[in-house]
Amino acid sequence: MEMSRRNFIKSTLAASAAVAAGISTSSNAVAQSQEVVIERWVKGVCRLCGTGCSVYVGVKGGRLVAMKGNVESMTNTRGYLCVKGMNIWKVAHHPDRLTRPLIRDGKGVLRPASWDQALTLIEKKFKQFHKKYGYDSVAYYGSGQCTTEESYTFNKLWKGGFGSNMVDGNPRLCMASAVAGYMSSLGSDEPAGAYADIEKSETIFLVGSNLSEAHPILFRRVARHKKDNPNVKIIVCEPRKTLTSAVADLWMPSLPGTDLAIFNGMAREIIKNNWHDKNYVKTLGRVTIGDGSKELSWADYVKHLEKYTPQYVERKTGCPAADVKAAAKMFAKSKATLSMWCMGLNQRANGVWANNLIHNLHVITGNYGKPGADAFSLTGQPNACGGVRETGSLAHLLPGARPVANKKWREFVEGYWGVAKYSINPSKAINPKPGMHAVKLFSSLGGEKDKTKPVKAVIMSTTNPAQTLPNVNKFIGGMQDAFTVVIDIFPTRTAQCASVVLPAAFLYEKGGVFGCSERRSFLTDKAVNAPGEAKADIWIASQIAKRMGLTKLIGWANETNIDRMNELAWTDYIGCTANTEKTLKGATYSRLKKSTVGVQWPCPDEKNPGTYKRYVRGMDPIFDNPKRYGYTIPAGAKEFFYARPHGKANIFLRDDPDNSEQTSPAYPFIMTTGRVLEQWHTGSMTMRIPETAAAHPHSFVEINEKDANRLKIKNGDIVKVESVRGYNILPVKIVNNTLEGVIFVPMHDQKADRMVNFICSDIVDPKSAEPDYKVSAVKITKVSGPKKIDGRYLVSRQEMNKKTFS
Amino acid sequence: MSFIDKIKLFLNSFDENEFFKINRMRPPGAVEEKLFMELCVRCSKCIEICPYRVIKRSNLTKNFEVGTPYIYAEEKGCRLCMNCTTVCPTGALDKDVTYFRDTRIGVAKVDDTICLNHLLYNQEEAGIADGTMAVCNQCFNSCPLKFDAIYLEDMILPRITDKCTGCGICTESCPTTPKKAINILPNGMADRDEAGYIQSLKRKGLR
Repeated sequence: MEMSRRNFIKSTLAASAAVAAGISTSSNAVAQSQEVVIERWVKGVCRLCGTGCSVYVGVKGGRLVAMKGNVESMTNTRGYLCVKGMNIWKVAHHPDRLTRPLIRDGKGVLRPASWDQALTLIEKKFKQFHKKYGYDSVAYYGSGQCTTEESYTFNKLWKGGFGSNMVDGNPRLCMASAVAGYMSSLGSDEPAGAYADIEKSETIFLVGSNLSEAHPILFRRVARHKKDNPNVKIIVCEPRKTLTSAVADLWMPSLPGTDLAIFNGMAREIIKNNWHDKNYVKTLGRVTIGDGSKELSWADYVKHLEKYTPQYVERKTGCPAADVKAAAKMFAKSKATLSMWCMGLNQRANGVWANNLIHNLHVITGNYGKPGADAFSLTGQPNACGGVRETGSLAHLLPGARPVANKKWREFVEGYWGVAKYSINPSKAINPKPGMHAVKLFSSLGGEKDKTKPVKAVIMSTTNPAQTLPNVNKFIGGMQDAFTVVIDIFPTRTAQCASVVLPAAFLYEKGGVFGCSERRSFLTDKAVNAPGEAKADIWIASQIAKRMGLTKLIGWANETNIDRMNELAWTDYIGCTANTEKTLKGATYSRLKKSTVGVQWPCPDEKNPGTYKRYVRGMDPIFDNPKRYGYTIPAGAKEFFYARPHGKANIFLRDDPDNSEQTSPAYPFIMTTGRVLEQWHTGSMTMRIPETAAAHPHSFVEINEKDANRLKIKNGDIVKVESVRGYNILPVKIVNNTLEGVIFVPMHDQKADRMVNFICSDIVDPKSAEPDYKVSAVKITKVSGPKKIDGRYLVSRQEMNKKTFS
Repeated sequence: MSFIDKIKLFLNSFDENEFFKINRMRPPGAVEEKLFMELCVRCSKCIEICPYRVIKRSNLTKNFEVGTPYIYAEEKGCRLCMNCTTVCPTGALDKDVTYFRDTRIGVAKVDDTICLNHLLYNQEEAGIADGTMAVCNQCFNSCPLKFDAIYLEDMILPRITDKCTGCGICTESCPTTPKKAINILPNGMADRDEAGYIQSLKRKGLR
């Protein structure tokens, strides 16, 4: 039975079609002999992680039936996908899809309602709260999975229409520290380079990222680069020895929460050995401290680093002193060094500082402007960069990722939006004070009876905070008491707390622009119609705008065609940011419609191909006409960090404080959380794909073999993992790839006693307000011997009527 | 696919008839098959104690196998809790096998003609692309002895080492259909024609 590759493709497609059509796959022999005829392939982008893989979805008879990679793609080169991406279309026709608006009645039961009833209730409540408690009592909590048009519409509606900055989103939980890091170190958010730097780099420094599971396609690019060029060096710094570390020349183990000492230690080694780029430091580096206003001397920086001897680093982090030296050499001596990091650095009590320290290493070695060199923050969501960072859909930002506190910019946006004319807020202006960040927002959310809680209503789209917030137990009550509106495609824990649930359209049922980690915006075309009465978020936002009397502010509120709505919103957005460094003026809607590779900003006009590298003359179009963007760049400057008047990148003096939760005799283990390859976020989609659910149906706890022996725990035993905040009951997986004293729990399980965020620490970074998911002090006690755990757990429609999580 | 294979696949999908089930193995610690058949008294103690219900009673009448314990990896692989070896009254399951790393139920074998990662790698090497390739790693990720029993050559090609316990969790999680791209060659099966996967290899002249 030789199965050729072609046959194989046929058979998987056929099997997929069988699943989509509801045919049991047990008689696959029959399914295999059929061949699916795809009517048309519709271009789009993968719905999952931040890599931004470009795909085609196959449509037959108005249904999605297959998916394939785009071979021209610049992100997933040659069109490779990962196994969850390849299967993601299957959730579109899942029987659990929400297809009608639901309103919770007096008995706590969610009853089907019409769109008019649901929207009328929302209108009534919002107006009532606006009047009674002020405009900041109604909040929007968005997502890095909404399209750019949707996030922009909600952001405009709130900040421009209601005069309230109570807009935040789940990127606060995943990359706020990277934003603050880029802003404080380089002056402008988002990376200078692109994925294309991977293939041009000589040393790759991976830190706080399990690239192999969280971004498998980028990991493949890294691994391929290493195979083709064996002299390429890879350094991985993380507490677990994963597949990512397997590709590395050097694995630097470090206890969670301590790696700041490693970065300072590496900087000290580099300077001590004279490996730093003196010329680069002189022209483009600026030593500073605190908020970056005071300039210090190079000698101050050298003195600051004195403390971080390799021996000190070893004592503090557990990383061998020799490794620090070796890593410093690899980092500094290569022609081009690329650092990539993800949540391991961002989701930390000192996440911004960790980001600053990585930038320090790049400034002192001159690793920004060269091909293959960059400090690159990876994102976890497909449109966190494009939709939330760039449109400024966070409490402290405006479009162009510029602070709401920036008077000049605020006044420009007010003028562009016509806030003075259209706003329903008597102040007729954008509020100069930032709103509440995610954790504060949900701590302030409560019912009308609770006088201590100023936020009375929230509308949440495409995200699941009742499962994803740290120390989630603290927030569930508030979500249940307040007037909460949830927009989603499946029942979730958050929908279980909702007063109104609105059925949403899936990405391929509405289309829109997603912007991935490397500043690339890519348009997904609408492929099929949404099931039942499910609607696109942009339509929902428009209906709310209309009912709140803001039809004129949201110029597309009266449109009925989704494509046309998206086009108007996109055109409005790129006009707003046209004169910022994030300009997408040249990425017009019609250009994105035609493009099969997307466009990277800055892209000031339609002839511009998009920018691979920022801050470099000849590559970055900002250098051609800096005045247009309000910058001045000296004529002779080849490389210039133009977002700063002096054009220099900051070298911060940052210590290594222990801000994270510390272990104690009662709670002796450090727990860290993360992803597995087959699942994504709260599993509401990936747990519904049979192929991926089978590979990882429930959470587990990874314990080092030595710790397990000491605690007399056997493989498969059921243990209670407990912090001061809450506990989980999990099966044990004994491994020898995690450090002693460090345990790991994945974050995808929906079962109440396996939801890891009941345990997680809710300490937040003081600057970015991003929670510290990566470090929690826990204890482990054995509950029972091995026990069968039922496969994947999914919140059902019936469970949405229950008050408690099961 | 030949007609015979089609019939076999079809029969394989019936729960009632285990005759054609491939990837079926004896529980951990099982002694050599001939001895096992002599020692096993069909008491079902291993079946009862298995907390995951992965050990099933055979209903095969051939060779008087009925009532003996089997693990069907495609449904669910062994979780290596090692409870079953402690309860066997006759020594059909060796009492001394108590540590999960010492277990040898069988050994996994990757079918590189259908393994998604192999196919992707082949395309990569050949410099061709058609958009149908996906990075998978599910066997590697689900393995309880990741890195020891299985590793990824060039970060992509699954390779099995002699530390493989043959627990079958990789087979369970392998996403290819209708045939799994990773299968278990059971140890100690006297009658190889009965051992499913080996049978098909034999016919292909590989064994």
